Formats: sequence, structure tokens, C-alpha cells
Amino acid sequence: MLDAGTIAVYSFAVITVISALFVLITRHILHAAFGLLVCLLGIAGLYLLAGAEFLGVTQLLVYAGGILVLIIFGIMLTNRADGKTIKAGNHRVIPGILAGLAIFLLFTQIYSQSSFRDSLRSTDNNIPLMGHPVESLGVEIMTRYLLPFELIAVILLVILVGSLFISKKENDTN
Amino acid sequence: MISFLFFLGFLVFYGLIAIYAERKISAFIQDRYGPMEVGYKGLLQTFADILKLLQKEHIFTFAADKPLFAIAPTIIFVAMFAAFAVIPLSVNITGSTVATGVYYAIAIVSLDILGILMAGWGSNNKYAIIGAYRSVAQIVSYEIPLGLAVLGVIMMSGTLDLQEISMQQSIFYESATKNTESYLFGLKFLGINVGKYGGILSWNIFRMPPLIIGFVIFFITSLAESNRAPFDLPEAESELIAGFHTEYSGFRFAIIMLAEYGVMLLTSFLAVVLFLGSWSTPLPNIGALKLAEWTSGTPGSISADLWGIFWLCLKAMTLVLCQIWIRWTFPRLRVDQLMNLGWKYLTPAALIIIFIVGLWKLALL
Amino acid sequence: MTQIELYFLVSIILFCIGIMIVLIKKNGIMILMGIELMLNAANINFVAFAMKSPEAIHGIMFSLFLIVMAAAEAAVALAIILRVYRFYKTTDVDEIADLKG
Repeated sequence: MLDAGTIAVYSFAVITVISALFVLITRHILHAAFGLLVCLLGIAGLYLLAGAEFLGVTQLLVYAGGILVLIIFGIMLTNRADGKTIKAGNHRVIPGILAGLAIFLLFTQIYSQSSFRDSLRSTDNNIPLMGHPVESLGVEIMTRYLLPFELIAVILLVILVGSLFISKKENDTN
Repeated sequence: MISFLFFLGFLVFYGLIAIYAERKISAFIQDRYGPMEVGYKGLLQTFADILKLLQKEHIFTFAADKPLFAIAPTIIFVAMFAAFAVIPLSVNITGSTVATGVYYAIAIVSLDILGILMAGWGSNNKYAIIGAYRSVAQIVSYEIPLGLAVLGVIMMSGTLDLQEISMQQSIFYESATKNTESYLFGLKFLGINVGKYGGILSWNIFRMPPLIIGFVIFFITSLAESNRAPFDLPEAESELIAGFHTEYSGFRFAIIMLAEYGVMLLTSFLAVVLFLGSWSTPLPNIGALKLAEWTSGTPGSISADLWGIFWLCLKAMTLVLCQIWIRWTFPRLRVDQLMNLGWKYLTPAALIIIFIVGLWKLALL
Repeated sequence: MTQIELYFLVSIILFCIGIMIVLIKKNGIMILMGIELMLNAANINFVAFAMKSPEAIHGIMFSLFLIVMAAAEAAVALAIILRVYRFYKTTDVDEIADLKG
């Protein structure tokens, strides 16, 4: 039962959850960003073990190498580097936790009442893990998903121009 | 497993050699002697330095963010070393057989940025933080032409798997699963299938001539990725002391330096695998002189491994030598010149290369 | 617990932690991190459903597009946060309470 694959899945899951909790608990905002890094790496590991190899690597490249760097830059630019540690304050702690727990209960209830639950349970261990080959992803992007693919390229361009416009300095006439 | 142990050993050995070579070559270029005291012509100088670094105290500055400061060198090193997992060593030793090989390598190396940011911020030192900013800005901008240059090769070979790309460039091309026909200069109408000649003619840059420019772009961006002159703004010693690793000492400093030299080696390996024929021999078969077959060994035997590792390391070492040579020849760029070069010249050039490769493959191959 | 169920559980927990971060934290960038966690939770669900069937490549494709959109969203959000910081000199969402800047 406990083969190497299962142990790997469980350990990645535990790493992901614990580092997400660390992001929630820590009051040091830069430490939170690096907790998020560990969390994203754990999720990339989960993708790899689910046979979504390309997606896992994309997660590494875009999230860890792109979005997180952006976030850390944001933290560094919006906090004066005067030697003090940067704290992120909390507010509405009790209602926030209650709301989170309520949503947790709601989702677990939905899952336990769901119609697909039994079919997943009964067949899951018999079906081998299916990887999705990179070639088929490429073919799908260029055929069935061509329109979303082109649209997303346009959106990215708009985002690039828009975020530059928003963040440029006001007295900058160029 | 073999490739892991090989790279771990080779990296340390290479670090010792490369630092010594760097000193001797810089001395030669600047008309000095370089290290001469320890051992014959200073051969043991690097060992003495490593010994000194290992004995040194770990200094934490008072205002440093200690967890970030302590863990940053590990992240920098691990991000660099993890990319070696996918590099094939010979026809038998494939490394980790992931279908997304080269994509993985580029992605995992980009984690290195986070280590640099942690080091720079954790040091709580203005030189360190400026160095980290510069380093990240530089690596992020140069990753784009790097990725585009690699994309040209991927379009030509139709796979992301580095072993598959290597197979297509060797005389064992028949065991590659796709795209096994390679014609001289990518010109099918000449009808010369270079696969059976092997050697230099079946390298990617000769199977697809536009990739020569792609290789040049890859080489320039790899200099920027490894923070070396003429792109060494992050650690410009005349302005920033040592950039993001100003505050590091002892073993952690040694790890950061090893990681820097490791990135040089990694990008050289990647350049060799993608453009310069990977582990295949540079000598082609000429008529009765079966030079390529004599210098490739037989697949499945130890001879193929030894030849493969020999050729791969020889080519990579030549590229590392070029990197050292360039470092001591060119002056450092300014920040605006660096960004100009990256965004206004290299990125458009790489896009044009992709376009030409696509047309070439459709029309001529 | 089967592998798919484990993925669901991780996804639910991540989503709840994301919600809690968004509700509890004051700093704008922390809120952005919470939103990223929630997007990742959704992604894990897509991957979990795509895991055991070769036809279900849609899940993977949807996750790919979602990752790209998350990158775009992060870029815009950070641009806005930078702008807000330049004006109010803080990223604390409680103190950004003026209309008509």
C-alpha cells in the first residue's frame, strides 16, 4: 500500500498545507512570501505526481519564477527599508477564521453528498495514472483551444500596457 | 543515479579547476603571473582557498534577517544543481527521463532569482539590496531571449526531451523516435542525409543554419544569467563591493561562488546539448575513414559512455573557457545599455530566428 | 483516502486558508497572496479530475490558462498597489478609506 509514490503524494500535500498555514500565521510579510514559495513548490509537486508534468513545470516557471518575484518586488517597493522588520497586521481575526471554517464545512459537506463521490472511490485505485503527453497539449492548443490561446495573448498585451500605465509616475510626461 | 553522482563530483572538481583557470587566464591577459606560491605554478592555490573558507566563522550581521540570510545560499545552489538532472551524459546515461526536459531546466534555474532576493534582502545592506535588484532585473529580462533562442531548437527537433534532441544530432539518429532525417544545412533538395556521416555536420547549428545566430543569442544571454562580465552589474566590485553576497562569509560564501560557477557550467552544457551536438563526436565519417564510428563507441557498452562524457565535457569546457576569456576582455555595460541590448536587440533577433526556422522547416526540410 | 480525494482535501484547505488570509490580513500584498492561494486551490481541483482519464485534457488546458490569467492579475494588482502606496504612503487597506483622492 505505502509505495514510494503514495508517500511522495502525502508528503507534498503536507508541505503544501503547512506552508499555507505558515503564510496565514506569520506576521512577517516577507517570510509570508517565502512561505508562499514553498506552498507553490508543493503544488507543483502535486501536479507532477498527478501526471500533469507540463503543468507542474509551468507552475514553477510562472508562479515561482514570475508572480512571486513580482510580489516580493512589490513588498520591497512598498515598505521603507529602514531596518525595521515589516509586519502585516491582522484585523477581524475571529470572524475571518469562522468564515474560513464555515466554508471548509460547506465544501466537505458538498463533497460527501455529491453524486460522483462513490464512483471516484470505487474506481480510483484500479485505474492507472494517466499522464497527458506534451505533444497532445501542443496539438490541442493549436486546434481546439486556438481562440482562447489567441485571446489570452491579446489580454497579456493589454495587461502589459495597462499595468505600465497605472504604475508610471504622475509627473512623468513621457 | 549515475548522472547525479557524476555531476556532483564533476561540479566540485570543475569548481576547483575553473577558479584556477580563471586566475591564470586573467593573469595571462593582463600580463601577470597569477598564483605561483602554493604547489607547482600555484596549482594548489584553490585548495588552500577552500580550506581557508571552510575554517572561517559564519558572520551574521546584527540587523540581518537571520532565517532568510541563512537559507538563501542553499536555495541558490539547489536551484542550480536541480537543473543538471535532465542533462544526458551519453547514449546510455540519459539523466532523468522527463518529457519536458529543457523546459524544466529553464524553469528550475529561474528559482535562483528568489535565492538572490532572499540573500540581498536578508543581508540588510544597501549594496546587497541594490545588487539583488539589479541581478533580478537582469535575469528576468534575459530569460526572454534565452527562452526564445531555445524555442528555435525545439521547433526544429519537435521535442522537449534533451536525450531525444541529442539522439537526433548523433550517428545513432535511427533510434530517435521522430524527425530522424537530417539533411545538410537543412536543405532537403540537396538530398544529402548527414545522419550517417555524423560528426559536426549533424549538429543542430549545421542541420539548421539560422540556429548559428540562435546559438550566439543563447551564449550572450547565458553570460547574463550567470552574472558574469560584461554583464556583472549585480556584483560590480567597483560600485557595489560584491553585490548580493557582500555580507556572506565562510562556507556560505563558498556555496554561492560554487553556484555561480555552476550556472556557467550548466548554461554551457545546455548550449552544447541544444546547439553543438550534445555528446556526439565532432568528427564525421569520411569515405572509408569511419571517424565518427571510431570515436562514438557502441551503444549499450561502456565505450559509448566514456566517449559521450568525454565529448560533452570537452565541448562544455571549451564554452566555459570562452566565458572566462570574454570576462577578462570586455568592460562592464551600464544598466541602460544592458536593458537596451536585452530588449531592443536580442529579443527581436530571437523572434526573427524563430520565424526563419519555422519557414525553413516548412519550405526546405 | 484515494489520491483524488487527497487532492480535493488539499484544495479545500488551501481555499479556506486563502479566504482567511483575504479576510484577516490588512496589507494589500498579503491579500493578493490569499487570492493566489485560492486560484491554486481551483487549479488543483482541475488537475485532480484530469488525473485518471486520458481524454480529460480540458482540465490541464483550463489550469494552464488559469495560470496565465493569475500572472496577468498579479501584475495589475501590484501596479494598483504601487499606485495606492505612492498616494497614501501605506498599503494598509483599513487606512485607504478616502473617496475622491
